[in-house]
Amino acid sequence: MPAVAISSLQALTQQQLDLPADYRKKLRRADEFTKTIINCTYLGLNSAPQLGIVPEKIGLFLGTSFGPLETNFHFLDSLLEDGEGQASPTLFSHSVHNAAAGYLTRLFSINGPAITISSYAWPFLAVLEQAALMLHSGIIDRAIAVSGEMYSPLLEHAGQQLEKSSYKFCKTGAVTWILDKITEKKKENNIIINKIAISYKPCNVATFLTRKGEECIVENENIKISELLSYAYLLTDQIQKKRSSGDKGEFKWCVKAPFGQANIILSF
Amino acid sequence: MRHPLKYKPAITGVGCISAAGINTGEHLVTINQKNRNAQHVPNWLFHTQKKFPVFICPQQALTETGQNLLQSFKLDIGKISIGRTAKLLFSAVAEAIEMSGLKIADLQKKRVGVAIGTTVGCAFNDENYYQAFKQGFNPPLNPVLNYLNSNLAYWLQTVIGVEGPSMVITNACASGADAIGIAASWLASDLCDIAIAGGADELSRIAYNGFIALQLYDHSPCRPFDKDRNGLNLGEGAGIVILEKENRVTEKDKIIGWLLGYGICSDAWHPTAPHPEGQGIVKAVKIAIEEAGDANLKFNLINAHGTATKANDVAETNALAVILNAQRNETPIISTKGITGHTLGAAGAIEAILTLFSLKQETTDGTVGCHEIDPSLKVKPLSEPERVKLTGKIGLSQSLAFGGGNSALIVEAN
Repeated sequence: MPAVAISSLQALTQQQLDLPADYRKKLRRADEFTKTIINCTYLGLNSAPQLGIVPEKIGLFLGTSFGPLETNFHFLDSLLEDGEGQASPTLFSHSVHNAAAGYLTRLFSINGPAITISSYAWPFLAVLEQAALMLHSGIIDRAIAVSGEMYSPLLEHAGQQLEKSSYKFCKTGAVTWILDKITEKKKENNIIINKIAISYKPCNVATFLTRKGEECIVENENIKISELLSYAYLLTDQIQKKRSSGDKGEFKWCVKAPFGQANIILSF
Repeated sequence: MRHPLKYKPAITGVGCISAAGINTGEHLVTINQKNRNAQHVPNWLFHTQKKFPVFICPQQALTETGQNLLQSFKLDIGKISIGRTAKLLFSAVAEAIEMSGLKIADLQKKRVGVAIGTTVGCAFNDENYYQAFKQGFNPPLNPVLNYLNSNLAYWLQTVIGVEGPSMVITNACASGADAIGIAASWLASDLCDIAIAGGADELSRIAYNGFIALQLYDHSPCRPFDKDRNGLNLGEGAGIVILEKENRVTEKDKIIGWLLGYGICSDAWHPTAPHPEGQGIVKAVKIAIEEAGDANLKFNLINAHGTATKANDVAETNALAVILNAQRNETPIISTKGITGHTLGAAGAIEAILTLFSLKQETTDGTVGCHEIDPSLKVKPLSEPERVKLTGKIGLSQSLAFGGGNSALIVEAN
């Protein structure tokens, strides 16, 4: 994988939503999944250097495990309650997996590629890898890598049945990283992703939901993970802390689960 | 400027299933005979009071070729619980692998990337489970476990027993085309040796009612580019290509064609409608041409997205007028949705395959369902009665999507 620079990192939960008024107006029909992703990306773009990149050279990579699942159910409610022919077209258009990506491209004027991917394992790491490939190919000069999940009572209930415990599904939240090509200046001042390697293996598919056995390994410390987006929050938080501390050098990060393993090597 | 690919990904196998046939050969016959297998939704698929045409695959979904491949993995078909989308996918995969001549044992020794586009295939659509949950019951968890087993790329890699990059692309109606383009980028970056890429989608009650709610659905069999067109008809199916690094293909006559270029761009315009001038698709084609590395590339066939909605067909033909410029009157333009319906996440892949095989046959048939071309369109696609001899081997397959996505695949027949 070609190396790329991280120009900005943000993580946000729905409880922290704080959008400017003009965005709130534009998002009045959007679901919480989209609003959270937009808010997180808004913060990410605002804290990244403004490089004057044309809209055609900015790419969007959105990864999610379950996407706007609750919006899908709201459309189903509309179909079941209002009947065929009366279902809400707005809910249907928002239930499509890439609806949030559509909002992102419109609100932030992104005319480059917009790719939404679905993965039960580590969708954020998958989009980071694909974003890095597209940056290297020359098609884009900046990539917005986003991952988001929407709280689902149905999946929480299913997880509790599977685990026979008080399992909690993650709250609606998002992580956004802004990635840029590496320049000589960036080499000195930025965080560089040197490598991402993801491998998958067969598993009991229930673990995609329960996350049983998932853990992050960083600097000889094993940290257990119990929620869907936790790996992305944790990685973002650890990088932010390392950057604040002024540490330099290589940073190796690993996440393991019954469904595979992913390794990231960064340099500060 | 995008870097041209160092080598062209070779297409060594394809597989196709839709209402137009259970394999690629059947599709070609259906196109040639201009058959339309449009029907109302049968009760075995789902119950609906609405009587709109749909293009559906056989009830069993898993073809004999697919069953044989599954059995070769010692999987008991009666015992494994897979959804209809996965069965359609596996049918296309089995045909593609068989056509490529690749042996499963050889695949298992290589790095095999799997990129699959879908829309319905990544949604939880079990209405009975949902209603029982809402009513406070604890329904059996099988539908949830089936859903967790339905990530098509992960599932396919697990069944075939291969390792490599894996991704499900959910870019709405462009998903299948994007999956092929992304898989090609993996080959170019040496993330894998071989890629299995394409798209699959079953017809669902939710999507059916969603498009009806959006008033994008024609009561009659769809009429792409026709002056009286009135919307799309949904279909279902799967399309798969096997991509290999050309320099690694030892038997060159195995090569069906090449993927010359892939382009993707966003309209940033509207949630469900394309930019009226097709600005995004113009840029996507330009990027694909850059990747092909030949600025003077001429298309010998264009398989348009051609959904038959009023907005799509206008936007797309406006874009083609810009793309083709002086060649606008001499380039054959068709839509194959008149025989497949709109297969959503599978569409881009199925259409790229049909483009490739029309180029191989050096002939294309006109757009089934188009009887009188809309005179307001800036280019003139081929109407149903037409059949044209093709004068070259290079074709373009376009996909437009909800969310403002636009994707272009340029293929060359061997």
